[in-house]
Amino acid sequence: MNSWVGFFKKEWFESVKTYKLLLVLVIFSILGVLNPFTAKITPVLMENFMPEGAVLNLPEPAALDSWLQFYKNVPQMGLIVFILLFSTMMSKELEKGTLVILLTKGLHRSTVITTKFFIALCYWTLAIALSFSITYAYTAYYWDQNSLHHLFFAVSCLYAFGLLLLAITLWGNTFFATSSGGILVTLLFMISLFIFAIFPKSHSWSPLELMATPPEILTGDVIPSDLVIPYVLTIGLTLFFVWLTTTHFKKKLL
Amino acid sequence: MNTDVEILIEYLPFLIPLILLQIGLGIFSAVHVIRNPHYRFGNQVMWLLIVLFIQFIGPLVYFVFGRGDDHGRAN
Repeated sequence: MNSWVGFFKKEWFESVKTYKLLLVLVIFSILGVLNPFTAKITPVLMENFMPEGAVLNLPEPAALDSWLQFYKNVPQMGLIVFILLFSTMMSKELEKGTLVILLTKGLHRSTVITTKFFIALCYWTLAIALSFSITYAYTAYYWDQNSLHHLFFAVSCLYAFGLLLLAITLWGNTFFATSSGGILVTLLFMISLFIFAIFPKSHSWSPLELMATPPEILTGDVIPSDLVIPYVLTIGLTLFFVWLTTTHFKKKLL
Repeated sequence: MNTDVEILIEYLPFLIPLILLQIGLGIFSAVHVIRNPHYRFGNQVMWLLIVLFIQFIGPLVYFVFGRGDDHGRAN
């Protein structure tokens, strides 16, 4: 346990020194402000750019629009940014050979993987919490949010899906030991999920649902109990990939 | 003209943090590019353009992939 805390501290300092903390804070604040801003300004822009005389009946922006922007920006921009940031977690250490010293001193190999995953989890929590609270604050200030259902459950779906992608990136990164390996594996996984999504049957179990349905949860079209299977599957897959990474790393030649 | 100013003032609560964050990140990265002239690939002019003109993906790519070691080695 002691070595776990020690290695965690090392990871934390490394992430601060490599500007990961700064980037996460700035980028996810920008994303947080951007959502209500886009929701509010789109009708104004449309009116200004429409040719003279054209009548456009745009409804007043509401709280839902702001959250729709949130579920458009954060899964796309936010997740891409995040996967890119943490795509070199293992490969950097493997390339430089910095882990060898620590491992010969008696650090467990499983400690390395769990710590790496845990630090990424902490950062993802921070990122989601930051952009969620900023969007929440702005939306609460400008609009009435009472008509929205399960705000916190909806964001937890996105959170769980992000964790799954992180676990897969970590696995790909460890397995191929290159920074592009992790990104490629995650990309392939996303593509296969999108292909599965063509078949309507997959909607009852696919983890992609956690990313796609939050807007419908907010409007009340989907109730949380519909998402039990995707949710459990996502968490199960996350744990499975972390376990897979650990077993693979134990056998890996450094 | 008057309405434009009103619109601008109405959106100031959004614009101020957005502009501050984006320009801040851009300038911080640009200073880093100039003060640490060792990159894994590419040259200074390329990284300056990337960091200043590609919104928040530019600085990210620079810090994750382009930044050399602090010891001055290019790898």
